[in-house]
Amino acid sequence: MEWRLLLNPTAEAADLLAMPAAIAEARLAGRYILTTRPVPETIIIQRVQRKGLVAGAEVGVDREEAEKRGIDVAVQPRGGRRGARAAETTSLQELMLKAKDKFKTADSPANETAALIYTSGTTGDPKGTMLTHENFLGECEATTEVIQTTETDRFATLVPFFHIYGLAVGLVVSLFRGCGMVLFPQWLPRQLLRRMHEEKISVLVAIPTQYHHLLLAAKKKALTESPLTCCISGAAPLPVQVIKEFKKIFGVDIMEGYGLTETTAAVSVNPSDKTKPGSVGPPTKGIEIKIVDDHGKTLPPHEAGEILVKGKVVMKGYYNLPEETRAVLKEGWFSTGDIGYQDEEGYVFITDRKKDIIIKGGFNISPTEIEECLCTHPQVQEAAVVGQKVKGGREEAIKAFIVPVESEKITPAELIKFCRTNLAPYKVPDEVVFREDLPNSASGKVLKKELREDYKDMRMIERNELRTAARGKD
Amino acid sequence: MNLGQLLEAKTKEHPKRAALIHEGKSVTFDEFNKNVNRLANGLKGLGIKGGDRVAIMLPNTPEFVYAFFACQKLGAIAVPFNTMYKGGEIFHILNDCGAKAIITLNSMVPLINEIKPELPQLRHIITTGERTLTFADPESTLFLQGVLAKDTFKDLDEAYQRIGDALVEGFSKTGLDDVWYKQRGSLRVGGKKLAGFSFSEIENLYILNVLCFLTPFDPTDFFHVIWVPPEVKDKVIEPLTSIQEATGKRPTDDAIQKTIIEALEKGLGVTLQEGALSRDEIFGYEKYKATAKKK
Repeated sequence: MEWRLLLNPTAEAADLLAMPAAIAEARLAGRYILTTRPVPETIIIQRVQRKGLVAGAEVGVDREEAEKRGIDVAVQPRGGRRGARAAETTSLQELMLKAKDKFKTADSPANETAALIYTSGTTGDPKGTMLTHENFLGECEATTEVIQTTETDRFATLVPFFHIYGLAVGLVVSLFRGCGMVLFPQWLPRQLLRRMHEEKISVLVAIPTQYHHLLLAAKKKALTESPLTCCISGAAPLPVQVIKEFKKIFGVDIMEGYGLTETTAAVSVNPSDKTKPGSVGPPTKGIEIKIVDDHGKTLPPHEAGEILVKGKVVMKGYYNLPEETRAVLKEGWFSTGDIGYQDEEGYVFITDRKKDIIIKGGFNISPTEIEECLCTHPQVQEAAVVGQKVKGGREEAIKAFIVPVESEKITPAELIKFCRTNLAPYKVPDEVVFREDLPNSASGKVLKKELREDYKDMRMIERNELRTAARGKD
Repeated sequence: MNLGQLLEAKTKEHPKRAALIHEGKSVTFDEFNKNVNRLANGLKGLGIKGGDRVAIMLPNTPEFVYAFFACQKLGAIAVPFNTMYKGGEIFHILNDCGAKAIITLNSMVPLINEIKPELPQLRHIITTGERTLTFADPESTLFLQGVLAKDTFKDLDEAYQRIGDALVEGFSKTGLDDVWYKQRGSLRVGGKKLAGFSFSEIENLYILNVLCFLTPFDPTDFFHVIWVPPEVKDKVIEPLTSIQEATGKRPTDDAIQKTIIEALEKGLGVTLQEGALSRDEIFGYEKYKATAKKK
C-alpha cells in the first residue's frame, strides 16, 4: 500500500498544528464531496527553523518575551465538540452538558472520608491522608478568628487546590464564609497585581515564595494602594524581611500559619494584632497543641520537643496503613514529627523536622541551626543541610548544599572554615557542595529527600517496574 | 453536615452572589451548585458511587472546584494531587487508592495512558482544559505526525503498539541498543523519555503526534515565556533523554529522517511516497496557520 509522506524541514511552530489539521479537515470533508480525490493516509515529518511554542488556548503566554527570545508562538484553537481530542477519553464538558442540574446529595456522615491527600514525608512512598467532612469543617471553625471576613470579601487562592492548604484554607473556607473566590490556574505575579484591583481581592492564601514574587513585581510597578486586608502564608517558613517589606507596600501584615496535611492545614496562625517574629502563632480556635519529650512527657514553655496536635482537624488516618496510623495517632493526639517549643502564651516556634535531625557522634544535630549559620555568610544565597548515612551505622556525616551568590567568590573549604569559627566542632559540615538551585516542592519547601544520596527519582518510568509494583499489592 | 450539604446551604443563602471568578467571568452560587450537580450526575452515569475514589489532577480551574464538590455530593472520595507529578508518582497514587476515574487536563493524557494498563481499577479518563504545551527547538526536536484512518489498525492499542515497535526498531539502528517502548505513550532509554507520542481522534481518523529528542533539550528560554517559577522549573518537564545523550552522537537530520521512514515502511508494511498538500488542503492549511498565529 502507498501512503503519502510530507517533509517539512523548515517548519514554524504553527505548521505543527496547521498541517495535520488541514489534512484531517480535507479528509473528513472529502467523504461528502464525491468529486474530490480521496485524501491518502499521510505521514508528516517536520523540523522547526526557529524555537517554537505550541500552546493550548488557556496557557498564559508572554508574547513580548517570546518575541524578544525569538520564539514563535502558535495557539491551539479551542477544541469544541467537534475538535480532535485524546483517543479513548471522556470529555468533562460533554459529561456535564448531557446531565441534569439537580442532584440529591448523598447523606454522608461527617466522619466519612471526603478526600485523600497524599503526603510525601521524608522516607517511603507517599501516604494517603484520609480527611473527613468534619476535618474540613473543623478547619473552617479554627480559622474564624484569624481570617476575619464579611460577605463582600473576595478570596484569591494562589496555592494549588491539590495542596491541603489551598484546598482547606482557600477553597473550603471561602465557601464556608460565602465569599467569592478568584481563580488563578497559573501563578503570574503581574497578573495578580492587576486583577487584585479589578476584582477587589481582599484575602490572599499564598506561600512565602509567592509573597516574595509579588513583592518583586510590585516594586517594579511602584504600587501605592492595595485592596488587601488579610494575607495568610503557610506551608514553608516565611522570612521576616518579606513581612516587613510587604507591609510597607501593601499595608497588611502577612500572618504566618503552621499545619500539616494530617491536620487539614493550619493549626496555629500568628495573629496580625499580636505577631511574634519567628513564631507561627498560638493554636487556632478549638485546637490544642502540646510539646512532648521522647517519652511522651509534656514539656514546660521554652523547652523543645515534638509538637502534638489535637482537635477536629486531625485526620482519620492513613489510607490502608493501620500501623503507620497507630504510630502517629494516640488518644486523639497527632504526632507531627516537627520539633519546636511554645512560650508562656502558647505561641509555637518550630525549630526542625524530627526526620531531618542528624545523628552524629551521639549528638542530635539540628540542620536548621547549621543552615542559619551558613546563610549569615554574605556569599551564601540558600543552604540546605542533610545527614548522609555513613556506611553500615546509624551515624551520619553532615552534608551542606549551597546556592552561592557568586560561585567564583567562595570555595567549599572557606565555608567549612567559616562554620568552624561559628559552630561547635561536631556541627561543622563534613562536605559542602555547590549547586545552582535547590529542589523545591510546589509549596516552596526545600525537598531534602531529593538531596540525599539514596534518592530515587519517582518520576521515571522503569521498564517492567510498575507491573511488579502493582503485583506486590495483591 | 457534610461538604455537599455545605454547598447547598450556601447556595440557598445567597444564590445570586458571585462564587467563582475565572478569566473575568463570574459564576454565581446557584450556577456553581448546578454545575456541580451536572458533573455529579455525569459521574454517576459512568458508574461512580459513594466511597469510590476519584482522582483530580487539575490546576485551580472551575473544573477542579466542580469535580471536588461533585465527589462530595456523590459521597465519593476526592483524591486531588499535584499537576506536576510524572510517571511513577502518578502511578503510586492511582494504584494505592484504587481510583476508578481520573479527571485531568487533556495534556496529561499521554502520562496517564502510559500507566493505565497497570491500573485495572482505573476505568475512566475524564479530560478538560486547553492547556497542552509543546516545545519545538531547531537543534533538538523532530516531529513525526500522521493522519490515518482508524481502520488502519484493529484498535487503539494496536495503533500505539505498531508505531511504537516500528520506532524502537528504527532507533535501535542509530546505535540506541537499550531503547524500549512503553505502551500507549513513549520510547524510553532507561527510565527517561526519548520520544513521546499520542493519538487523538476525530470522527473516523486518528491523528498521531510524536515528539522526538535528538539532542538534550534546554527549556530555559521557554520558561520565561510561559513563566514558570524558578523553584519548580525542574519539575515541569519529565526526565528526558535524547539520541545524542544516549549514543554520544547526533545523527544528521537526513540520517534520522531516513531511519524513521524506513522503520515505518517496514513496521506498517507500506511505501511512503513523498508528496505535497493538495489544493483543498493548502486552503485549510493557510486558514489554520493564520488562526494559530493570531494574537
